[in-house]
Amino acid sequence: MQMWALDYASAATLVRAQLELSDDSEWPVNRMGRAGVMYALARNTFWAPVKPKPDPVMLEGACVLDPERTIQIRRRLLAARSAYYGAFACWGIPERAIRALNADNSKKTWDGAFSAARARIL
Amino acid sequence: MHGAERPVRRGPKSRPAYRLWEYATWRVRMRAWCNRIKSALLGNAHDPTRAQTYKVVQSAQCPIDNASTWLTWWSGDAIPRPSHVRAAERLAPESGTLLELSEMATPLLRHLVALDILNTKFRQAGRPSEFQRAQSELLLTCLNGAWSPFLSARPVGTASRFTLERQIGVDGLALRHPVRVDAAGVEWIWEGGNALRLALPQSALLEHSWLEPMSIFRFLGRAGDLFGG
Repeated sequence: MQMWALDYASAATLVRAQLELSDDSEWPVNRMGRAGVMYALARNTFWAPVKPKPDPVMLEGACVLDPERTIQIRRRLLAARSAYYGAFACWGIPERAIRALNADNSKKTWDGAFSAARARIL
Repeated sequence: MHGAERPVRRGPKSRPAYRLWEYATWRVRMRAWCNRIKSALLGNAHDPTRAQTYKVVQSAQCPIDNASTWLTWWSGDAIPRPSHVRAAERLAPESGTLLELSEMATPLLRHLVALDILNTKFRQAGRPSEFQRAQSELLLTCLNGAWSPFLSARPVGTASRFTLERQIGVDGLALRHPVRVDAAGVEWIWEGGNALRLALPQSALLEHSWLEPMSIFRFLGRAGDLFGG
């Protein structure tokens, strides 16, 4: 589970890096078809803030992928999130440090975007 | 200016700067490396959230005897000397891979490389975007290789760097939930087919193509079924 969660997050990070390099907005995701849905699911699983209520994007995405297994997909993605942050917690790296590395820096100044990811681990 | 008057710049103090600028995960790597060492030194007394400086430095096998060196490592403000990395390697085997910035042998290391690609804003030489593209291709190749124990038609040889034992320390057969294999599947395994491939959901297998490296993303998007539920 941990291997899948980390590699799924890595592949989604690569997609994100390609999107950012493309100088286009987030619109390409809408043209990616099922891959776009998987990207949206990965984004909401690993990078989005944790919400107390079920995330509608996650439910909608899961429904598009497999309408008969929406609940199972959501449950598995939540388990993937725990496994992902748990893998780093074992090494003493808190969630906020990983979230800083995964943060959306597009709205920040260059300096802010640069230093947030390189901040000391407290 | 005479040699004696020239200000002496000592290497170790200025070494981490470029690595910290170029690789956003450097502090994370150093923290993980310290915890590998600490875990080997302190055993059950090891707490990954605390530096435990004096317990570490007072340990008989500790590779350093200086508390400030340990604290600089802990905060990720230094690059350890090669002799220290070697000493740590003897204490905690393969701990040095955490500091190898291009190493992708385990899922955690691959993700650190992915985070470095995403956060590359500065390169000492060359454009950041060129570095990002080149590293992305390498990582994609590695991700495909990493999942080859499941995706290959034939079982991956024990000499491969991507055996599951090497990647996660677990035998692949122990990972599977019980899978019903039909007669054709049994015959396929009997003829040398990869049993782990049968554990994958068909929907995930259909997403992957060796000719399109990026398809590993779609495969992983569907491969969660491998873990039941």
